[in-house]
This record gives sequence, C-alpha cells and structure tokens, in this order.
Amino acid sequence: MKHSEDLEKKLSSLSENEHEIAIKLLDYISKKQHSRTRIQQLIKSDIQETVWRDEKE
Amino acid sequence: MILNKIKLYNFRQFYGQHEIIFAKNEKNITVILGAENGAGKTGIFRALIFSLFGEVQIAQDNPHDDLHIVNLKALDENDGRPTEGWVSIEFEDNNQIYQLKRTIRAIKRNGIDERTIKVELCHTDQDGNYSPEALTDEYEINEIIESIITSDTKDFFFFDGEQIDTLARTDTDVKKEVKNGIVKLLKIDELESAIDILSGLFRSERSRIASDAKSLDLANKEKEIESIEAEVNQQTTLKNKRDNEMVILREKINELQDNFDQNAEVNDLIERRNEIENAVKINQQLVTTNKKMLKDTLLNDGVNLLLSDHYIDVNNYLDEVAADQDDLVSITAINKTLNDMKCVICGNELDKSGEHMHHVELLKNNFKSDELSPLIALVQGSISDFQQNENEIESKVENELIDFNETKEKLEEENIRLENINDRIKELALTEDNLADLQKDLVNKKKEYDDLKSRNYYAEEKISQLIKDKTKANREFEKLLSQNKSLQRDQKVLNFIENLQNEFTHIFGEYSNEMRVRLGDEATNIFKKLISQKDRDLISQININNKYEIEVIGWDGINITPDISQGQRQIVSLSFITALSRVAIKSFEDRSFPLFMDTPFGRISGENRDQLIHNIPKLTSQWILLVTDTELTREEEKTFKETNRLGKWYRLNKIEEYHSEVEEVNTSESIATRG
Repeated sequence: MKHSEDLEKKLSSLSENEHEIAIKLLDYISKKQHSRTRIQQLIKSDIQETVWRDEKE
Repeated sequence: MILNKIKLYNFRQFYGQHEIIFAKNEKNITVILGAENGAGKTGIFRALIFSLFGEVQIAQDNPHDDLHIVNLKALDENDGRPTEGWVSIEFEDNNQIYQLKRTIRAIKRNGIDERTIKVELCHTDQDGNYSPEALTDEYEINEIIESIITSDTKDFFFFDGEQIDTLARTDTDVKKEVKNGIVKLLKIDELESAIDILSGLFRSERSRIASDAKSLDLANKEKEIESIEAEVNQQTTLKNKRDNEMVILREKINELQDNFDQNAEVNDLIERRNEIENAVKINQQLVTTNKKMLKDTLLNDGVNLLLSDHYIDVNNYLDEVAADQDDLVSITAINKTLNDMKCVICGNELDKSGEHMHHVELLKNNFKSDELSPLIALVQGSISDFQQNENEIESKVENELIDFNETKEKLEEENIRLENINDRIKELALTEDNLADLQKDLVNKKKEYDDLKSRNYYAEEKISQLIKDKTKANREFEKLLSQNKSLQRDQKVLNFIENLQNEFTHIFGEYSNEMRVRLGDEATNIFKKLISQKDRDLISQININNKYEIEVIGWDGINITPDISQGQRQIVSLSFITALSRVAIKSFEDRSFPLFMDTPFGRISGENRDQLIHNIPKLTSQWILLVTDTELTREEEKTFKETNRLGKWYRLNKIEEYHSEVEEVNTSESIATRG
C-alpha cells in the first residue's frame, strides 16, 4: 500500500528497524484485513523478530 | 478515480436501458440537462450513489420516505410479477478498470417490496488481464470500493450543490464531517490507529511481563502505573467531553449574544422613542400656544392689516363727510363759551356784546346733533392708532406665523421619526419578558462556560502531575525489570514499542499540521480563482484549524466564517473540496476524484458561475454536472463552449410519468432552452 510521499519522508527519518516495523504496521492498518488485536499480535511478533535479529548480529 | 460510464435499466424514472459516457482527459466536462421536473436529474445522481455504495437514499431525501428504485411503469406492465432494475458503472482507479453492477428486484402486490438481489464486480488490472468471474460477495466488494473512495468522503465528491455550503458552516456535526473527510482522505487516521495500536500493545506487554516476572515489586509498580494511566484516561476523557461541551456552549452563547445585541438595539430605540415622545409633547404645546397668539393677533389687527391699503382713501372720504356737517363748532365748545361767557374760539367777551351772545345762543339752538361725527372721530382715531403701529404689528404677525410653521413642521418630522422607530422595534423586538429571559440565559451560559473552562484548567494541571508521576513510576519499573536478567529481551521489545509509539506521535503531529496548512493554502488559491473579482479581497485566507474546522479569514484578519453569504459559502466549500482532492493527488499520485454535482449553480451569481465554469475543469480531473434549465441558460452554454473542455452533452427527456430517456447531443449543438 502506498503512503503519502510526505509521510514516507517523515518515516524515513526513523532508524532502519523502526522504519521497517512502522511500514508493516501502516500496511496492516490500511489493508483493513485484520482486527486491532490481530494487528497487535502481528506487529509484536515482527518486533520480537527484529529484536532477536539484532541480538544475533 | 475516473468515471467512465453508467448504465441504467428500469431505474427510477428511466424505463428500459440507458447509458451515459462521461467525458475525461482534456475534455473533462459532462453536462446533463434535466429541464423538466421529474425528468430524472437527481435519479442519475441516485444511481451513481446506489451503484457505488448500495445506498438507496441520498442526503436530500426524507429518511422516513419509502423510496422505490425499480421503474414504476415497468412494474405496472409486469402485473404482479417480479421486475428487475439495475445500475452498472465502469470506473478506473490506480490503472485498474472496475465494472460494478447492482441489481434490485421489486414485486408489486399490496405494496411494493424491493430488495437488492445481486452485486457483481469485475476488474481489469493494469496489464489488461480481465477477471473471468465477477466478484459477488457484497462485503468484499464494499471493502474494495471503500479502499478507493470511503463512504465518509463520498459526500465531498458526489454532492448536491445546493447543500454543499454546509461544509463551511460552524455547526458541530459539520465540523466532525469535515474532520472525518480530511483524516480519511489524507490517511491521517491510519497514523492515529498506529499510535493507538502501539499504545495498547505496550500496556498489554508491560502487564504480561510484570505477571511473568513473578516479582511482587514489579507487579505492584505495574499496578501503580496502570492506576495512574486509568486516571489520566479518565481525566482526559472528562476534559475532552468538557471541551466539546464548551464548543457547543460557545456556539449557543454567540447565538444568544447576537439575539441579545439585536434586542439591545431595541432598548436603544425605546430610549430614543421616549425622547422623541417628550419632544413631541412639548412641540404640541408650543403649536397650541402659537396658534392662540396668532389667533388673538389676527382678531385684533387682522382687519386693519387687510384694509391698510385703503385707509388713506377712507380718511379722505371721512374728512369730506365731516366737512359737510354743520357742527363745525362742537356743542362742547358752545356750552363752554356760554358757561364762561367768553368765546373759546375768538376770545370775545359775551357780556360785552349782546350781538355775540345772541349769535352763540343761536348756534346752540340751531345745533344739529349729527350722529356721524363721533363715529368718524372714532374710525379716524382707530386708523390713526393702527397707522402709528402698523410696521410693528406686521412684523409681530409675521414672526408668529414663522414660529407656528416651524413648530408644526418639527412636530410632523418627529411624528415620522416616531413611526419609523416603532416599525423598527416591531421588526426586532422580542417582548420585554423574553428579553429578560434571554439575558438570564446568556448570563447562565457564560457562567457555565467559565465553570467548564476553570475545571479544565485544573484537569490539565492534574493530568500534567499524573504524567510526571507516571514517568517516575515507569523509570522505577524499568529499573526493577533490568534487575531481572531473564526478562532483558522482553524489556528490549517493550522499549522498542514505546519508542516507536513516541516517534509515531511526533510524526503524526508534524504531518497533520503540514497537511492542514497545505490544504488551507490550496483552498485559498482555488477560492481566489473561483470567486468574482469584486469579492476576491473580502476573504484573505481559508484556514483548516487544529480541530480540522474550515475557518474563513477576512481581509482584516478576523474569522468571518459565520458571516459570509450562502453563495460565498458554496464557493468556499467547493474550493475546500477541490483543494482536498488536489492535496490528495499530490500526496498520493494514484488518487484523483471526479466532481459530480447535482444542481451546481443554484445559489451562485452569474459572474461567479462563469468563474467556476472556466476554472473548475482545470482544477479537477473530471467534472460532471446535473443541471436544470435555469442553471444552463444560453449564457452558461456559451461559457462552457468557450472553455474548450466540454466533452459530453446529455439531455433527459420526460416522455411521460415514470418514463424518461437519455439523449446524447452533439457538443457543437445548442442544448439550452432559456435565454
């Protein structure tokens, strides 16, 4: 899902990990396929994976 | 979104099948003329809304009316058997083509029973691949349509021109509508959702970690934070509720104040009326006095003044009459002579000459008492008296007449002023009782407002203190958590969520502010293009404030939103919608919206109509107008043709009741029926 160019610019100021999660979160929301609780589960899992990947590196 | 075409079959007034192809690209104006009432102009608008959103009713309908969609003529012909009607539209969005068809079936028995029986969506992707099977799940179809144009924003692009001015009104409901439109279209609501989701996730993770840690200190600290958060939420909810109440109260106070100010004018008028009534009384007395004085003067000297030119002749005549009298020597002189024995005329002693004595006695004996003499003396005396004072009397009468006239004129003027003031009072006034109630109500509402304001001031202080407490408790929670090595990864996740939530909150603030400013500037530029030259400088700026309300700022920097005319409000609303569409296009390259307007020029003056016709096609991707014959006169037709953007002309012909047909007219031909 494409976001506004201005919003994209602002999101690009985030750290790489935060940017990745932010884009995923906005995509979950804009697709309107999941409930709020489900989005929380999905994003939590994404964040855990990112943190785990970071630790591993 | 670009509308390609719409097909109708037995839909409302349209008997049988009809098609309208919409103009796009360079020639992007489509004009559909419904000259006769009931020809189906609004039926086309309804068909578009029905096909896209499945809604039978549009904003202008009475929600209690039972509307029938399937054509009544077709229904009658089918004589109790089921009859179908449908609308199909084709549109493009993001390089994909969609064909959407909604079918409704009706049966006429005792009444008319109608229901939507089928919804079908086919689509062709950007590579030209056509979906072989139509999508028929209504929920899924509505989701797709919602992702292209949300039902919250549809009213910004498909609207009744006569009602569009509501967007620039100051009502609370309208403000909500405007806010919803902006946040949905510019996707600001998604940022709000992201913050909300992260905030919920953070709380649930913190609670889970505290529970997993099996540490009493951590669990207690978590409870403390939760309790602070609950109180912050409660205080914030109450504060927001009071903020909303204050907005409504402010509107009510302004309304009451206007009403009261109007009646304050009545109070001024009543004071002025009392002053004039007193002046009238004094002047009436003066008129009576002047009249009496004038009457007395005229009774005394009026005759003399009238006859003054003849008095010389009268005197001469009376002298002649007197000369003819024998009583040249008066009886008084004779008697005195005889009494004194000495002539009062010549001084001769009578006792010295018997002849003299005899002569005087003869005069007395022969004296003819002439009645005219005293009268002549009286008249001549009067004339003489008058002549001595003639100038003075003339000037007195003249002055008294001037005074009388001046006072009378003044009295008449005051009576006219009194009449005008009474008329104005009748126009404005409430009864005195109502005025007192109004004042009381105004005082109470102001008090209520001040009370809410002061309660919110304390709430803000309290919230600020609670946030400090929460920060402190959070630090303590983190410290306790960091002591537990097995929870370090959980802590990292928690910190990540919190940081991201803070970043989103920051971005949301910046992004929404920038969008509001851009929207306001764009709306102002468009307004300057759409409004006539003479009104251009009245409005200096259109702002979207931090509550997403439209504010119209006058040339002097004052907010004049409630004071602009309906026509100006309509143009402000149109400028806002066009700006919204343009900002959305600039922000999201694949987003464009047609402007579909029913009765677009109803309240707009001729000069402003020309401005709209020349400029809207340049500002929007597609402009579709449903017009009446009074909106499309030969003047407007000429202006449409001058734009070189006219792509399609359609005329709706009413054949009979419940039977209208769509006729395409060549754009080189004339369609207007009125001069």
